[in-house]
Order: sequence, then C-alpha cells, then structure tokens
Amino acid sequence: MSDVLLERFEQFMYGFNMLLVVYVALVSAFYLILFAASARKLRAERGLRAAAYEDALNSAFTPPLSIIVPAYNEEVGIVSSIRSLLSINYREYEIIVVNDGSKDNTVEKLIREFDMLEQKEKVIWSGLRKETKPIRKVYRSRRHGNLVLLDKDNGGKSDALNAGINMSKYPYFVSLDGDTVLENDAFLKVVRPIMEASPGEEIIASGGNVGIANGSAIFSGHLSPEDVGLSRNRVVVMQVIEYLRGFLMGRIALAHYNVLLIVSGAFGVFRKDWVIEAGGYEVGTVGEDMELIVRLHRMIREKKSKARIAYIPDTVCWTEAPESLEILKRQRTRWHRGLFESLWKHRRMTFNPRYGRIGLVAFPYYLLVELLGPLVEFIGYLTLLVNGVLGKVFWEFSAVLFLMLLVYGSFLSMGAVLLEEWSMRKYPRVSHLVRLFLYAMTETFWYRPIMTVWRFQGLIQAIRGKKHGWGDMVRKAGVMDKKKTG
Amino acid sequence: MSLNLSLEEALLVTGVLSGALLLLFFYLMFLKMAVNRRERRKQEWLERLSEGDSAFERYLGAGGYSSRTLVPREQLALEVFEEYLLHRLKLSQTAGEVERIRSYAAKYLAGYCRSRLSSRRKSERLNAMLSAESLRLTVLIPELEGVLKGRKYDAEERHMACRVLARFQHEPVVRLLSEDYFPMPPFVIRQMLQVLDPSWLERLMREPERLPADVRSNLVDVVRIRNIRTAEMLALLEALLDSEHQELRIRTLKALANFGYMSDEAIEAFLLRINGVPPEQWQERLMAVRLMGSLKDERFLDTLERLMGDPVYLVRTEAAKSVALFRGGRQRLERIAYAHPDRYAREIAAERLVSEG
Repeated sequence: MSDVLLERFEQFMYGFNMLLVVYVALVSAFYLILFAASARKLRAERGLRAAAYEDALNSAFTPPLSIIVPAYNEEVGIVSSIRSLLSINYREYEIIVVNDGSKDNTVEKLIREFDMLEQKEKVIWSGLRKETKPIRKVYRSRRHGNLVLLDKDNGGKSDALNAGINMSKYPYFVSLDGDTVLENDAFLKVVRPIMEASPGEEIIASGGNVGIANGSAIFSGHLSPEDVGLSRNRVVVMQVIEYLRGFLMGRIALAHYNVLLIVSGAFGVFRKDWVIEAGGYEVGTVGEDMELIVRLHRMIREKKSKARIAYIPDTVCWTEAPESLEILKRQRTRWHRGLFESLWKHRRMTFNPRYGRIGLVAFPYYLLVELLGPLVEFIGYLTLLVNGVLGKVFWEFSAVLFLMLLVYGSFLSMGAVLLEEWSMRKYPRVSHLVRLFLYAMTETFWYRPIMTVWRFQGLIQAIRGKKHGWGDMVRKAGVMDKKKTG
Repeated sequence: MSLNLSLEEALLVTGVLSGALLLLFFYLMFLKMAVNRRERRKQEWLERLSEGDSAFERYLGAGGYSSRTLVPREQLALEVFEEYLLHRLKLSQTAGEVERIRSYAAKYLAGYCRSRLSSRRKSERLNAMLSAESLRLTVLIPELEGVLKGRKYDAEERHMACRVLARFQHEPVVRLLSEDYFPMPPFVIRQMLQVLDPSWLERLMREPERLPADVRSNLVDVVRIRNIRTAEMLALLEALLDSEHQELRIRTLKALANFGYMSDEAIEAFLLRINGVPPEQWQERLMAVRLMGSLKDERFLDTLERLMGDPVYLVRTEAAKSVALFRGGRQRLERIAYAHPDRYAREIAAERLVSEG
C-alpha cells in the first residue's frame, strides 16, 4: 500500500515538476518578448536631444497643468520640494499642496515659507462626484500666485488626491509624491505624447521611468546627470536592478501595446475629465495608482474609444528607496496587497474578450505572473527541497528547475542591467555597471527568494483583508537633499 | 524515467545564455570606458572653446578672424564644434554673431549633418535635422525633401522634416498645408505655421474654405499666438466670423479678442448675430463675451448684462469680467448686483466685486 502511495506521489511530483518547468519557461519567454520590444524602442530614442521636445517650453498649446502634491507629515522635506516645483521648466501650471491632516508642522512651515493667506473668496470645484474628508481651510501664496494649500482632515492619499482634483482648474493634473525629485524637463517629457497625439487619438494618462535616488547627489531638489550615483547599500542596489527590470523590460513594451496597467504614483499626468468620469481615486485602496489606470482602461474599452495611456521610456523622476529589509518588507507586502485588490475588484475583465488586449493579455499576465508568480515560485523552492528526498530523477528535475529559476531571476536581471547600459546610460561610471551586473547575478540566490516570501505574505494578507495606512517609508536625512560644499 | 536529455539541454541553454551575457557585459564595459574617455575629452575641449581668448570666441566676436584650429579635422571635432555652436546660438545676442555661426556651420558642418541624415539610428537622423534647423543649413533642403519621400523614415522624422523645411520657407512644403496636404497631427501643422513668414499665412487665410479643416483651425490659432496684426489679417478674421464651422468661429472670436479691434461694420454684424440667434455652444458664447470685453464698445453692454445670467457659470464669470473692464464698469456691476432681475446675474456681479477688491 505504501509503495502504491509512494508511486502515486512520485507521479504527481513528476507532473508537478513538469508544470513548474513549463510555467517558468513560458514566463521567461514572455519576458524575452517584452525585452525585445523594449530594446527596439529604447534604441531608437537613445541620444535624442532635448531640443526635440523643447518646443513645448514656449508653445501656447502646451497644456497647463495642476500639480497635486498630497502631503502627510512631510515637514522635513516639503518646503524644498515645493521650492523646486516652483522653478520647474514649464509654461503654465498651478501647485496644489493637499495637507492630509498632518500631525506635524507641515502646514505651518508652508504658510510661513511661502507667505500664504487664507482664501476667503469662492472656490470653484471641478465636479468630482466623490465626497472627501472635510476641507478645513484653503490658503493661497501671496508671493507665488500659482501655489495653493488645501488643508483637510486625514483621509489617506487617495482622498487627498481627490480633493486636489476637485480644486484644480486645468484640464490635466499631475499626481506627485511630496518627496519625488523631478528631472529638469520631466514635465516636457511626459506632456510630449499629449501634444503630439494624432488626430482622433487622446492621451488620457502619461508616465515615465522612476529612478532610485539613494547614492545620488541631489542639491536643492535637483539631480544632474553627472551626479547620478549608485548606493553602496546592497538592498538598494537590488532594488535598482528590480526597477530597471520592471521599467525597461515590462512597462515600455506593455505601454507600446496599450496594455500597461500602472502609471507610477510618484509622478504621472492625467486628463481630469476622464478621471472625474471614472470617479476619481478609490479611497481605502492600497494600490490607488494601479486601480485608477485599470478603471481608465475599462472606460476606454466600454466607450470603444481610441484613447491611450502613454509611457515615456526615460527617467522622469527619482525617489528614495528603503535601505533596510524591514522597511522594504512592509513596502513590498503592501504593493502586493494593492495588486491583489486592483485585480480582484476588476476580476470580470480577466479573459473577457469584451476588454480586448486588456482582458486577454494584460489581466492574465498580471494575475498569473505578477500576482500568483510568488506563489508558484514559493512552491518551486519547496519542490526543490522535496525533490531532494525523492531520488535521482527528481534531483535532475531540481537541477533543471534551478537552472530555469536562474534564467528567470538572475539572467533576466543581468539582461535588464545591460539593456539600461546599452540604451540609457543613466549610471555614468564603469564601477556602477560592474556592481549592478554582479549583484544581478546573485539575485536568484538571496534577493528573489526573500521577495517571493514577502509577496506571498502580501497575497495572504490581501486575501485576509489587512488594513493599510499612508505608507511605510521612513525618510533618511540627506538622501533627497544634500548641501553642496566647496 | 530519465531526464538526462532535458538536463543536458537545460545546461546547454544556460551555458549559452551565460556566455552571451558575459560577452555582452564585457563588450559594454569596455565600450563604456571608451565612451567615458571620449566624453571627458569632449568636455575638456568644450571648456577650452568657451574661454574668452579661444579661436572660436575670437571668430564669433570680431568676424574676419580665421585660424587652422577652427577647421575640424576629426570626428570628435565635428561633434564638439556643433555642440558648442548650438549652445552659443542660444546665448548669442547680436545678429552678427548668429550670422557668423551659421556661416561657419554651412562651410564646415553641413557635410557632417548630411551624413547623419542617412545614419542607421533614428535619433541620429532626428538630431541632424534639429541641428540643420538651428544652424539654418538650407543646403540640406534636397536631403530633407528626401526624408519626406524615403521609405526608411518614419512619421516622426517626416514631421520633423516638414517643420525644418517650413522654417526654411521652402514653398513646396507650404503647399503641403493646402493643395498637397497629407494627414498630419495638429502639433505638426502648428509647428509649421509658427515658423512660416506672415505673408504665407495671409496667403493661406485668403481662401480658408480650400484648406483642410485641421489647417484652417490651427491657422487662426497661430495667427493669434503670433500676434499678427495687419489690416489684411483683420479683414480675413472678420470674414471668418460668418463661417459655418463652429470650431472655426470659436477660434476666430478668440483671435479677434486678442487683436483688440474690429471694424464698425464687423461689430454691427457681430451684434446682430449674437442678439438674434445666440450661439448654442457655451464655448462660443464664452469667446464672444471675451471679445466684447476686449473691444470695450458701449454697444455691447446690454448683451453682456444679459449674458451675466447665462446658464453656464464660466460664461457668467467672463461676462462679469468683461463688464468690469469698461469705463464705469464697477458702478455698473454694483447696479447689477443690486437690481438685476436675474438671480445668477446678481450673484456673479457680487462675486466679481469681491474679486476686484
């Protein structure tokens, strides 16, 4: 009897191992396709001079922007962030800082530094049919006519963004994190697809690559190309590699086929009327940026519109990444919960031909690879252990599976590092390339298994329905703003 | 059960991939070292060029100065000199300097640009066109026409070529906006119109009905933005107020509001139209109200008062703003806020008075 059971179990494990190998092979092949599509686009645009889009600087047709900056307990960096926004390279814009019930001195600092006065005259609301937490006061700067502060009760980032949208006066708004450092011509770059839209084509959202600022020299909210650096912290280096992989190999190609489901919350431009019609940001969601994009895609399909969501294959902003595994864990489990929530909320789009490529390609990809991928990888690692006790054949399965995981993990990341070097060359030194490449080699052996476990935990938490807050980032002094010496 | 074959295959694939990645890594690493070295050399050269007593500064300053060091003798020199001149163009204050930059470019950089127009890399080709545009390399007109017809160039490159040729006032390109029109994105049409000589724009405006709709509406916008204020242009704009195309009428109203003047006959005709059959679209009413505020003709005041009761808030606000611009506007607003029969008009007048302080 036990022999029969053992034989049955071995047959099951045989089939299961095959399934894992096939899964990893298919996903790796899919990534290679994305890699090829991205490489082509990146290579075509590499080295294009800024003059190609500087036309937008002086053009009267450049769409004016409402830059919404939600802020919660940002007294450390909010003043320098707003100062750098006030000096951006753009023709017409307003800045709406939304204080979301901060418990520190965010509001007081802003009022003092920018000479802000409470606005008594009537405020024109944009008509977002979504209630937000009560607005306490509205302030306008006497020194900078285009700077407004909206002070409201705490309601979360989505709620703050909705309040900002409601107050904005321009047809496009920018969602921007308070600590994001923008490239000098970031706005010109993301607005370019909007201005260059063909007749009949509408660009309803646009975003770009986000770089990791740790290790770079940022002065007064600006980062010059020659000051881009690579942190010595191995956790940060692995995140840089991850970001490169995600942006260069994933988002560019997905956006090309208009199946991109994420525009980074750190920096993105949106058409206000579409977002209002979609109902604004969903409050109480972890991944509010992704959830909104999914809803916009849904609207595009349901309206049978030619509208598109654009993506700039270039770094448009820089953000601070966690430097400790503890903070990173909180971030990644939160991101995975956000992914689950967005996909679950719109689950009827999955494999639904009514939603075209979104339903038949994007959703299955995000479900089977991004969301359930950690589950499969987790089981894969367990399988490696189980194979170890089953016998020679299964050792060979383990070897094959391990090699596949090596390709899926380290090799794809090494490829992403090389693609970045070949196309964008954001990291100026040879030592940067060497370190990134060598660390990418090690990914399968430590970083990827850690991420797998955390994302798996995030999935379990999401299924159980964990509550969330503003975010888990702990700002480190000196990462986002150095003082220039000499 | 045996997996010998699968394991060998997997090892082979992994081995090949590892080898390829390592080869690529070493190639890119050495390439980066070479590129960085070149870049350092380039930066050092650029710094030397920008020194006050450099050969280039003497050439640009005095004119007539020549030196062997001004003649580019290697590829890097062409790159450096081009970059330097493009940078200097942005800073140059005098026509003489600009002329010397362009004259130098025509003599020494045209060939370099020409070769890049047939580069395999798209970004190189686009950069070459951008340089040709800034440096006014009109000798490259045949090559730019080739971009319009050549199959290896994509839409983005053709659009760029259109813009550059328009900058050169090249007549066949102007025909692309009329009789030889091929569908272009609005931004390309605008880019072309913004660099054409005003005489070309007047020529296009004379027969607006023959123009494609996209060109027509963008033409009016560009006339407004470029602030072209000739008598002929005014007459052409006034004639467009009767257009059967609503979008064109809206843009014309906006353009005339910017102009700030209309002939008496045109004002009478405009008043008749707006009081007879008010425009259905609120955007047209908005622009009409703005025009009235810009012209500040007393004949408009009753119409403006009526439009302060418009169902659309933006129209009401604009009407109140326009009334405030007239002489005695404040007193008029006070009277409206107190005595106007329409509640909306009273409210908007009161709001305007608060904003005016």
